[in-house]
Amino acid sequence: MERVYLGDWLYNAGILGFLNINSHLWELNTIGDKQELKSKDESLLKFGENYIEFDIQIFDGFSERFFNYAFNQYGRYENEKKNFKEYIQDLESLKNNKILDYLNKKYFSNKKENAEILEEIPIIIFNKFEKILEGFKLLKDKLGSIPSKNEIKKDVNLLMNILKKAIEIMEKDKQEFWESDVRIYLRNIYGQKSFLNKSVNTNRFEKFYKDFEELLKEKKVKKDKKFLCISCMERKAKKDTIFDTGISKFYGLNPDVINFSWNFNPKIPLCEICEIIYFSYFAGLTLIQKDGKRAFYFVNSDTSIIDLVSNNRLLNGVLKPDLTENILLNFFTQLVLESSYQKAYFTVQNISVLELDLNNEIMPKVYSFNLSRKKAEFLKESKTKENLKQLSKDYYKINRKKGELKIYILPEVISLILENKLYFNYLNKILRMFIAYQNGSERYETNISPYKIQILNLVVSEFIKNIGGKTMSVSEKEIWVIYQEGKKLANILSEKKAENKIKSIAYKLLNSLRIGNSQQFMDILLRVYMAYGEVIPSSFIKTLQNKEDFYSIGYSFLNGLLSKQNKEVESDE
Amino acid sequence: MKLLKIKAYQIFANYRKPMSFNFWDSYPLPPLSTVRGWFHTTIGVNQYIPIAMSIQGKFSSVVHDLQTLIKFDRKRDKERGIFLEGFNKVFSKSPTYVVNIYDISLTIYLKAKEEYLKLFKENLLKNEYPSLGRKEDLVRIDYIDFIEPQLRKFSNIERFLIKSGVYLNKKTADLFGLSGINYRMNFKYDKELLDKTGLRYFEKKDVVYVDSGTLKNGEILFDEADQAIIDLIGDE
Repeated sequence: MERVYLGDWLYNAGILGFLNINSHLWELNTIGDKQELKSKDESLLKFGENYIEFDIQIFDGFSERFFNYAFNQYGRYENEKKNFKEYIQDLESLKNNKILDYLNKKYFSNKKENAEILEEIPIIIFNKFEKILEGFKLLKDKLGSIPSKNEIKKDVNLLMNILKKAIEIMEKDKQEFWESDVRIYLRNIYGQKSFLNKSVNTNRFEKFYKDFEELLKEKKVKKDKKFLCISCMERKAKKDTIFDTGISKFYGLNPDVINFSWNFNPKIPLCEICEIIYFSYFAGLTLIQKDGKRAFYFVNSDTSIIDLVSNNRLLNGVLKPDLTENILLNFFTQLVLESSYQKAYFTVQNISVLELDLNNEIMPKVYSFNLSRKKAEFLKESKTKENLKQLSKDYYKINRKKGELKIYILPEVISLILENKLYFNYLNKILRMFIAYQNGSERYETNISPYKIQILNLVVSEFIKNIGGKTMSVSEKEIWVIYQEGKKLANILSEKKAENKIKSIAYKLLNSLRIGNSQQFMDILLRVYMAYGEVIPSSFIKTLQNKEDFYSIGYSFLNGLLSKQNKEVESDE
Repeated sequence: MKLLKIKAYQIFANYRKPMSFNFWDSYPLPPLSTVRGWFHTTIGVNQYIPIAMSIQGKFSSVVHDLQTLIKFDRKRDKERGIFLEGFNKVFSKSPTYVVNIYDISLTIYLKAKEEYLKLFKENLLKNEYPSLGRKEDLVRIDYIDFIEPQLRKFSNIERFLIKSGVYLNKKTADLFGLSGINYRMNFKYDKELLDKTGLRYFEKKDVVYVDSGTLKNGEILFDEADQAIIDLIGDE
């Protein structure tokens, strides 16, 4: 068995890539709140805490899996085929004069007359097709001559036929496209190693098979007489193999930057195992489209193999559905919520996400948390986490009539925590929107309930106590007692047929909370309690002692008071 | 057994992980080879002295900083850049993300022949300025003296709570059932191989970085004054 330990970030990406390429051999299971990596065949692959172990026979069929992974990640073949099919469909509906509205919208954003559509669409499609062919040499060569623009103007069928022919060729010669696309894609990433070398024009798959798979599984690798591998420091180095630009164009190490390596010696010999691990790193990256360009993301989580796998899966899941600027914040939010309780504080602090532009030799961008130890402790605490989890589906919308802005509360809270800005004024903002929405405002919408705002109140209070360095004497129990008092008062009001008063009282209370005026707050309360012949609860004495206690208690009461209005809330509790 | 105990403080430091070239990653505490190297340079020897150590510490946060690194480059254009005669290279600048550990309080216990430890204690503040990590990572020495650690037994009743970071031998961590971050860390390099190849090949140690957890069953060396466990990693 060969053992491969976690190391530098590129190597870690390589391990993840290697696992992804061999994904048929393992699965990631979630058991309770823990994740588990399970090997499907322990004679081929085993997982250790910070290493993977595999038998050389794992390389049987590796070339094909490697190529398939690169082919699918590149995705050009399938994408273009899909595009061509769509063009044909559009041209057909053009012929039958069907659904021109749809085409008008798709190609001209509804700006054209029918006659113009009929005339211009074939040209637009033709131009697009030509542009694709420019970057798709293999297909262009196989197609031979294509009709000119003028010919197409006269007869749309010519365009349809050539598109059909393109699809036909692509399907017939899939194997060839497969090899060619993999080479184009990986050359951008790795330079000119092995089968990627410019001089290799045919049988590239064969070349890769012979250079790697065959040598590895039949143990025919030629070893260096003198050197060990500098990466694992255990296995003998492979003959004439050094870590260079053929493994990574952007890693910062090449024979010129001698001051980056010890004793000005940039010659870094590698063994065949570490080489193939490094060579697999492309498959450890998550590909996304960012500003119309491809960007690759990788989470360097080196606590354990399982964290490396599951955190990258998590990022993948976060990136796929909905791409906004906040993706990484969303990811970190999820990470905080999903990392298990026992984990070291360092884990949460240490995670970094790398963004790579593989087509340029630009250094990677590194995103991270910059979390202080105290904050990591706070976020990691199970109670905080449970509270935060409860907020995961809550959002608010602003200006919902015109181009609405939907904001999820949880990432916003996490971001405020990270920036040390979480304070009661955030509660005020959310409550204001809640009340406005209840009153039928068209500017705001929110699905948060007063009960959830109360949970938020707990998070804010705890945050201020633990991180904000403020002393607060109010306990969690007291906070809930006051919340119940608020509910009680709401009940009394509705029993006395004064339910409509709740709103105006709430507004007044909210305003005194906003400006931090505890006397005004108490004044309002006294009047209300007196008016209905009730005794004011003694817990309110604390509100006069310090500002933070006042906010915490005040908002609790307000949340309780408002909870009556929100029927679905009761089931929450 | 006498150990040399050093308490130190650093504002910033990068304890670079090997093979991190375009993103300088860092260990949470100075790694074994760094401390070993510090020891050897300070006492100014040129042969290997057997040593074992326990490295512990606490830091406030991890900051990702963007720094300009100077790198040597191929000579492309005669006009531009500073030319380095001896190397036949030119200077070029390259922005790089560098991890900085911030606000670090370190406690390090060293075990070696007493005469060398004495020499280390004597020399530490004599030779240039003390630094740990990169050359520019200054270290303020707050305490340096010999201590006599005791073996201490922990049980279900008498527990020990780990509150700051410490590197433990993998064996120790397993024995106490503690989990943390597993590192395979460079310890010392092979002199023979260095002479033969011009490259440093390191002997590695499996260590676990632990910064929270409870010790329940077992015996371990203990520093009463600082209420700290000591798990020596290195040569026996």
